[in-house]
Amino acid sequence: MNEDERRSTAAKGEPIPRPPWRLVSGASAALILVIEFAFFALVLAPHDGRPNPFANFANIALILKYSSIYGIGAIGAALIIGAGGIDLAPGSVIALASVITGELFVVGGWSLPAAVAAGLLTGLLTGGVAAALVVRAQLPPFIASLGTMGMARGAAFVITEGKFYDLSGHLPASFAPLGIALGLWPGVLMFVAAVIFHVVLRHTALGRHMLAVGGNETAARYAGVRVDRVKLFVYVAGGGLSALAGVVLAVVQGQGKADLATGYELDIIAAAVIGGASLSGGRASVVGAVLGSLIFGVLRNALPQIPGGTYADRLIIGVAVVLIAVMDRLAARQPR
Amino acid sequence: MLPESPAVTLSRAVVRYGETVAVAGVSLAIARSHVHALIGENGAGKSTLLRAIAGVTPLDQGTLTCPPQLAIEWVPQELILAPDLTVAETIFLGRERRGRGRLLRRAEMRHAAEVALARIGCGALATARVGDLSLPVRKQVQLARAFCAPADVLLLDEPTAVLGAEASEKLFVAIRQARNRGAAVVLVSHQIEEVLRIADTVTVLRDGQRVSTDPTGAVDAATLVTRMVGRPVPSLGRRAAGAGPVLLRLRDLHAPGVRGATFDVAAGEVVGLAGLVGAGRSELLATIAGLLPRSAGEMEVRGPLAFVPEDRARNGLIPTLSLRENIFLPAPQRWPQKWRERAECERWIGRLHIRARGPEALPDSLSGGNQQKVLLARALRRTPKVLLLDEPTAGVDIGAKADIHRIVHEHTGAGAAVVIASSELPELLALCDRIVALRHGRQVAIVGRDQATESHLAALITGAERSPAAAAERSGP
Repeated sequence: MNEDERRSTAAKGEPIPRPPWRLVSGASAALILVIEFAFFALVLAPHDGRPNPFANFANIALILKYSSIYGIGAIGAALIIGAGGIDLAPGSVIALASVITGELFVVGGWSLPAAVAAGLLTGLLTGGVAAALVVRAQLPPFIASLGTMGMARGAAFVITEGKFYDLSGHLPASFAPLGIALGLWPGVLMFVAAVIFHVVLRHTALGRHMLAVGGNETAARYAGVRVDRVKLFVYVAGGGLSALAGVVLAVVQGQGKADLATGYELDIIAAAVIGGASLSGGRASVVGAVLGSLIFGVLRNALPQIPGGTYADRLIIGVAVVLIAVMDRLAARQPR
Repeated sequence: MLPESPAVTLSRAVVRYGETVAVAGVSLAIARSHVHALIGENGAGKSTLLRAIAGVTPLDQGTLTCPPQLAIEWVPQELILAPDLTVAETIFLGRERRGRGRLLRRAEMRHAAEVALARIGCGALATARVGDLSLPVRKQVQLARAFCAPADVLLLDEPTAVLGAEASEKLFVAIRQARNRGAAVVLVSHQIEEVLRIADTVTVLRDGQRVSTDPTGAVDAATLVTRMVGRPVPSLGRRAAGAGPVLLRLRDLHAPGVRGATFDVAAGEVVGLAGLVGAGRSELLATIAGLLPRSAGEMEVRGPLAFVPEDRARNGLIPTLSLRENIFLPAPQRWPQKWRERAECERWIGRLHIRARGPEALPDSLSGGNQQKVLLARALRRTPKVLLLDEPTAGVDIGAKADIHRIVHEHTGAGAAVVIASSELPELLALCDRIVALRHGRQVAIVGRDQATESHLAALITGAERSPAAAAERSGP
């Protein structure tokens, strides 16, 4: 074996690439979003001088409105994944929260704030159950949340018995809580939640402890971090955020039903991962998770406007997840 | 091929990690039938050189020449094994023996694993789960991989750092056997005595450069140390122990792996825990730290307590947090202030001589000794009155070791009680006022520093000498 051959076998064994550039996870998500937006704005620009059907305020507000359901859930997913866990329940919790809110408001005659509070509470409870299974019963998070996912969805079906609640019929036409138009509420809530949990993750002891537990749970425990509390917090917060998304969906779209948000959990996890959360734990970004959900939101909004794009959006989103994750992986690798 | 011709030749080798030059133009010939030791301080480039020879890290400049089909076995210092595999599966991981239909030959591999384990004197069962084994035994399993097939070149990075004396001796026998059948052995070690005994040739590295290469018969330990550090190292001075109030009191303490411990540690005192693998040293410390449940007995701790566990990669460091965040864990304030932490972290870096790019460096970019100092900083930051250290100098170079010993002295001088578990008896003898000998979880004797000798302690912990306590134990019901 000569020198060059040796080098090439060495490179196969364990390459230590030295990229000349390094992107910060959150920053790369922002960059992708900008490029993506510019791309669709150009592609969808009409040639005859009509207004751009994609790059206009009404459409951006629409993207924000629909993305924020995923975005709110992805904030919770980022916290849980950063702390070394995983949560498969968001889609089911969204449905359950919408159903509880709907049942109490439409059938039970509760006031809207009370019904909303009850919806949120179910999310916190579901998160609490997941945390108890992980902390007390020592179940792997995947299994624990597989269980809560089934239970939440099942409870939603039991409550509705297949029917759906039309909340919009019971709300005034120009319903605008706190003077903010109903359509803007999802975006506003996502923004507020992002600010709060960004601060929690980056600027509090709790946030550092989350990433410590995700990075090396044994070492965190040995150092004196109260690991169980940290896990309880992330799962309860994750459940609460999913429920918030569900309540928003119920009130803004005006309906609560048991088969709402089916499969959302995977999009939510994908958004958190695109935003820089590492599935092996110890790394996560709240801002990144929100950006990740916006990246997907733009795709979902723009693709149907391209001929043949309607049916391709899931395929393209799947490819995009892989591409972005690979890019981020390559960028994050650095020599020891 | 002539046996005298070198197995591997490095010529003006240069390896860079980013801006750091780890190996700066080293030329070296590794001969067959020879044990070649590489010594040097942390960051001298020993491990990188080994990785380069193993072909894991490519050279940036220079050449690496070796004959074709050379069987190289490299055992890295880091002990990263899959916990759910069995010992035999671990030894054959990635090189499984297969029969017809690509099916695994499990029995054959189990048998070969047993042979390899016996060769290096490891008592683990081939069918045991790796995650259930203690750190030193896991290290032996990792080493057994390299001794399974006859290799032409054996690259051993700090193989004895976590092994006890007995296991090390058995490894040395295996190393000599490999050498005698014509293998080239490259041994990285921090133990100079061990190097002088085992190696035929010793090369000193400093700051990525080769300082010297000599036959081991032609140099002495003091010369090597001076060459490694670049300055003479002062030998450890012992301060007189001023016995203060008792800060740690144990009475017949029982816990998983601990079957009765009774001793006091006073302020300003250092007590050592001596024992073989499985004697319960780590378990005793973890019990005192409150990490293992106490099943019987009394325990009293006065004042804040800090514990630096064994196996820093598994129990100590968070790889994804910065050096600063690792030191400030758990975070002392509900709302940590980065600038304040950074300033304090800089002070710790200076005080403990931590070699790092800065407070925001990740632990993986630090050498073993510096990682250990980071954990010490985490413990000392809370100014503990009771400080528990489990193998604080395992895999740490001479300079860092002297630093760690100095830190222990400073801390005891300031009125703390310190308990140190170490598999190195000379280290305990140099540091401790009293040494507690443990065997199979039982406390067999407490030896004051005036009466303690290495041979006496070795006899106590191996059971070669009947202590009064053990004799009483045996005659009991």
